[in-house]
Amino acid sequence: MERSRDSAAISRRAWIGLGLLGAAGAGLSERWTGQEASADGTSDEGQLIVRSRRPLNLESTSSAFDHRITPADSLFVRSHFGAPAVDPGTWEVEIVGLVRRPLRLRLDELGRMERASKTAVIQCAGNGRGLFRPRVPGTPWERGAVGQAEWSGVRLADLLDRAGVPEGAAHLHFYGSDAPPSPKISAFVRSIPIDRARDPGTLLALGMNGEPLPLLHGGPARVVVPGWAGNNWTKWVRRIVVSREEAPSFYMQTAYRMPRTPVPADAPAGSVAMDPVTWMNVKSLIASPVQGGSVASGPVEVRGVAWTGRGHVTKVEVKVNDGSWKEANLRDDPEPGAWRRWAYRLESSRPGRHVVAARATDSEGEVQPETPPWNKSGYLWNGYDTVAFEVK
Amino acid sequence: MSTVRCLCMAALSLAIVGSLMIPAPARQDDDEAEMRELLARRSLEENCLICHSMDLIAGQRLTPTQWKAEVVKMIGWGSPLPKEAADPVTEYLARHYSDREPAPAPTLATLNDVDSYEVPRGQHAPVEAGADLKRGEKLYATTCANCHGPKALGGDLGPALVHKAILDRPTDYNRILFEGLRRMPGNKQTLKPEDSVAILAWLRSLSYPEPLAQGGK
Repeated sequence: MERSRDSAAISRRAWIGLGLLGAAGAGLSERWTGQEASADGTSDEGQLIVRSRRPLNLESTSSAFDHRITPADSLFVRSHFGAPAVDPGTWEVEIVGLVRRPLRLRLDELGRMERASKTAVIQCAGNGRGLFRPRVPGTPWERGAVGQAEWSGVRLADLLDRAGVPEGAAHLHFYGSDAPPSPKISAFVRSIPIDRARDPGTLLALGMNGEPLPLLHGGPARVVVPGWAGNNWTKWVRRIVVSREEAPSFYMQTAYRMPRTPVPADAPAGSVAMDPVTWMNVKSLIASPVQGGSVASGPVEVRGVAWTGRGHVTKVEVKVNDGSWKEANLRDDPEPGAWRRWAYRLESSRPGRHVVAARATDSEGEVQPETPPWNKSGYLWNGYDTVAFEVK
Repeated sequence: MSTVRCLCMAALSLAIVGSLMIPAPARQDDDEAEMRELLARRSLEENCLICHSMDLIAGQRLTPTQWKAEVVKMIGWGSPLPKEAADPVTEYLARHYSDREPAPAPTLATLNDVDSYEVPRGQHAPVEAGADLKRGEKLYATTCANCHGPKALGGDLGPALVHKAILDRPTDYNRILFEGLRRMPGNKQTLKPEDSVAILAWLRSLSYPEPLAQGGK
């Protein structure tokens, strides 16, 4: 049974009633509507926020950010047209187009190729869309359209070598197996440049977290493009076309593009140079304490994860109430495309309400901003994360 | 009858008529508003929910201009919303899902609990060797193709069925096939259980994208 978050909403009203929200310094905590603590102050491990049932859009709660590897049943789910009912026994992946030897490979044949694995963050391009103001249309993801998994499968570079790619090949088009509800609606077809496909971390994944890739996460076969947003990680891949050009599809040429440089909300459409959404930007999230939760007095560990697109995260800073930014400890070795866990020990915390904020910096010198530039599709929100909690 | 009495009666009559008449226009307006509301809601449910669930709408909070743009976009994408219903539906959306009101808190569910036909249940089994695909195809053509399209890729009034997770949820599939859903009529009178099995087997034998050479628009 699904359960309502009404109890959480009541808690939120109680917070407001106590004057715990909306005071100076707490404004950021009101950016997102989630109230995650249940009555006993614990988090929602294994629970997902239901954004829509069709298409199935499920958002992770904070507990998913409290791991190096997000458990499969806590990882957000997103698709345009729904997971296909498929028979893995008959699944084939074709590599055709600008290739010397067109291939058609069953899953067992793919499984016999050299196995590669990569730990990488997957984040929906629209994660945080619900936090932009003015509001924008689309699924109002707040924080949890992101997670990290251990992906395993075949390097796309190996598939390209096996098929033989002549001069002039520049893009790989991926055809998903999720049928649109009507032929009038564009199919989900996306492409990535061949240089990105040849990166040793770019995979046709067949496995996730040591198990066969779950259907809801793109199984039997999906693209993994570490460092790039999830719109590039086509699920349910059955056909790869090598081409000189980008895919001419709606989902490549119209959707998933954002202004090259920030523009005001009232800029006329068509007047702005738009690029495909590719590299993610630097971002951190707080896993604990949870929003609206309460902790015992004494030292409080504030912890979470941080990641970026190009390079890796070099610093995470934490600010408590109106204090100054303090550096957190980073765990996990830096690895392109992967998140690093971080922790900050708040030694003394007086009873009452506290607001904690986190911001990350990456090896390219990018710093997570308080508020990112607005864009009309609500892509790549990376404003500071903030959480309000109570010390008993 | 005295003049006074006549005047009194006249005044009383006027009062009675008045008491009936004065609220009447307001009630009529209310009735009309309620009817417009019902019709708009029905247009929305019958046309928009062919392709997506209500929560995709209800979770959003937009301005009237943004809702208008969304409705225009969806008609461009093939929504069968009649032309005359576009404005009432737009007004309905702007009234109920206004950017001035916060969205309700969403529900929480585990993957096992989530109430969605989009989640396949159990392992996908291959189509049974003895399935009568020819019969399934024929029954589909006469019963389903008019709305769901000749190859189950969807039509104006019915969504694509090829590869859909509902094909791995036989209980839900049978309930919808026999009892109907929104504008879809139930087929209790016309189909037998073995017909449902044959149609399901044929639907499950289809492949997408097929032919693979086709892409998106």
